[in-house]
Amino acid sequence: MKDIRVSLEAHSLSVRYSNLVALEIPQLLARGQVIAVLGHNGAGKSTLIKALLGLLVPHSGSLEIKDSDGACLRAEEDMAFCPESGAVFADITVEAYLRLWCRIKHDDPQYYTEAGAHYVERLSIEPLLRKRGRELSKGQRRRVQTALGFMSDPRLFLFDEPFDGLDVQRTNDLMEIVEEERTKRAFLISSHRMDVMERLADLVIVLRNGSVASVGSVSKVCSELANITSGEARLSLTDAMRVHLQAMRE
Amino acid sequence: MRKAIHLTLSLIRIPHLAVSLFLFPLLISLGLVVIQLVVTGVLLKASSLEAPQSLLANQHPDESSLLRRILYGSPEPRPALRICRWISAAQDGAHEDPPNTDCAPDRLDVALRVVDPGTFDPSRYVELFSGQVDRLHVCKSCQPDAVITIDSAGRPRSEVYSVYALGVLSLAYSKGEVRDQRIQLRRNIGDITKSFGELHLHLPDVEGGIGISQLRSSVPFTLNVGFLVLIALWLALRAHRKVLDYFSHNNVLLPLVAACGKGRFYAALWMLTVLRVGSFLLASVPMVFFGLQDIAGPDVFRVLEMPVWWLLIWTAALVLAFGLATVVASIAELKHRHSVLSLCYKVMPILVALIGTIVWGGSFVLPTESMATLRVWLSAIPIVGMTPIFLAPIIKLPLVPLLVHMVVCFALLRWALWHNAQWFAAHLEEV
Repeated sequence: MKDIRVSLEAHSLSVRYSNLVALEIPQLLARGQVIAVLGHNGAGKSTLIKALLGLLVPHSGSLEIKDSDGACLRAEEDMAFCPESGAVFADITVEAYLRLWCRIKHDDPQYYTEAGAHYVERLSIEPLLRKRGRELSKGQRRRVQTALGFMSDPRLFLFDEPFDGLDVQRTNDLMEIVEEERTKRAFLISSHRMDVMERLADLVIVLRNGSVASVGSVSKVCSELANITSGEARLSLTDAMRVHLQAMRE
Repeated sequence: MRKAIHLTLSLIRIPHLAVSLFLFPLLISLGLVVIQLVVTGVLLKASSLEAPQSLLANQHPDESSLLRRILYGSPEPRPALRICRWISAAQDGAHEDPPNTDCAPDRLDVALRVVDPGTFDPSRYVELFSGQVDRLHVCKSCQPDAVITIDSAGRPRSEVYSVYALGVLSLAYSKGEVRDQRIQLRRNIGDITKSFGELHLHLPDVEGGIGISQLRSSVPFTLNVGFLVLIALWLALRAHRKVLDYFSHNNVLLPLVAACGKGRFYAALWMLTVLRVGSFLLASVPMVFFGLQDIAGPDVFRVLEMPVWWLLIWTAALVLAFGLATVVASIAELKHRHSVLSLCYKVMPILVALIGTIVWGGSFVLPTESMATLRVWLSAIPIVGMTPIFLAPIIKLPLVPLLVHMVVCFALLRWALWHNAQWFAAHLEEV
């Protein structure tokens, strides 16, 4: 079976907005299948995603994401991205949006009814097809964009806060989809939801004020954050983060 | 390239973008071109040495008038003017009545409000309005739509209460003798001008001098080309903003840019811009060409007798000069739009160009070599020398400052765009 894990590699990376340093990572090598990027607001999670997509050019250093063969993934060919608020044009129907996107991405406006039909069904897009973008809730817009992301069959799917504002049912649905899809592609998910990420992620990167506070498996990160030595009872990721933040404040 | 074209064609299919990016701006821009042509025509007619065609066309305005047809429904002269002197009521003197029932005021009558209606001599106004209106009321307070108030010192002041009343007062200008005097005046001015022949203003920095008599033909061409460039630049700048705004308002910008790649997305943006400006130019250039020819005659293209390479350099310099000014204003405004000084950033290039124009124009007062050198230097400086570049075909700007201006503008424009590209990439969502 093909190894679909990806490695995130950063060397002397510095990403800035004008003179404000948004991300500064001297060295990072992280390899995983579902990579969770955690951190408080303004920690640099969205900046990291934008830099990976090539939307932000590093001020210095390098940032690359590679497959198991060591080949660099390219944003427009190998990645898909779903923003926090989802995306559909307000004044056109979901169907027209799907056609537009499929025309751009696959050169075939009917792609969503053929090869992409599975994702239309799996993410329950069918009832939304006749609705205009402005009539959709944030969660529905996110579902549409998620379906489109999967339709482009990316090797890496980047999610920005996908669980934010979802109820228990929808959270479970999305988790199930990620579980199903993780056999086909890697995920990089930025989130505040420690509980969900603890279940999904095989690698966690914790960002604090634009730099990496901890990186590794869930248990390693929990131990590092809570400063727990081996032998002590393991804390959940949520509790570890709470302990960490408390320690920071003190 | 093929992918960018494909993306462009896909984006055009979005109804909102098609309408806001092409249809509305095209209609508005063509409307502006029509206004520009109308203004040019009016200015040319006003500055003509010949009597206006409208005056010559109507040989007998006393017998037939279009304005009378519009106002009264008949072009014929009105019946003999009835003078109605209003009578003050005996009791209080404040209230007044018309002298008889035939003198009931109509909206198309003219009233002369005077201190003493009984003794006022209205002969001057009778002369003006005979055959043009039906009744001339001499009163203290009566009010048809056209009222001329004459105070105790004899100073007149007119008020009109409808557009029709404005037409009623205008009838006074269309009398036959007034028409003859206007035609004669134009002819006299024309005779004086013709007796000087072609007039040339010689300045140290202008080889062969500026042909003042040719300004009538070169100014409309230059101004119209300048305005076309301005409208095209406005369309170009707004194109980027419109697409980015529309995409970011719908949160589609980042996913789409990520899916297409930055290069392909920007290439599509430029293609949309070129399509927008191109469709405007395709529609407007023939319109301006035939419109100007119709309004001003073939002489208007005398400027085109200059060498083709010179005209090309001038056009390039004009586009780059205006382009630099608008890009500086737009970038400054975008980057500092949260600052209270954002408006200053926006008007800064206009202000600098204005100061440059004042200094440049003022230098003509002193016909010395040093002033000529100052003019050449000013013309070569971007933004400061925008007016001399704009007027280059008229003032016969030497090639060196024109070239220097063009090259420096190009370098600054390239630097400004390159320097800010990363900033825009980093602030795509904000922009």
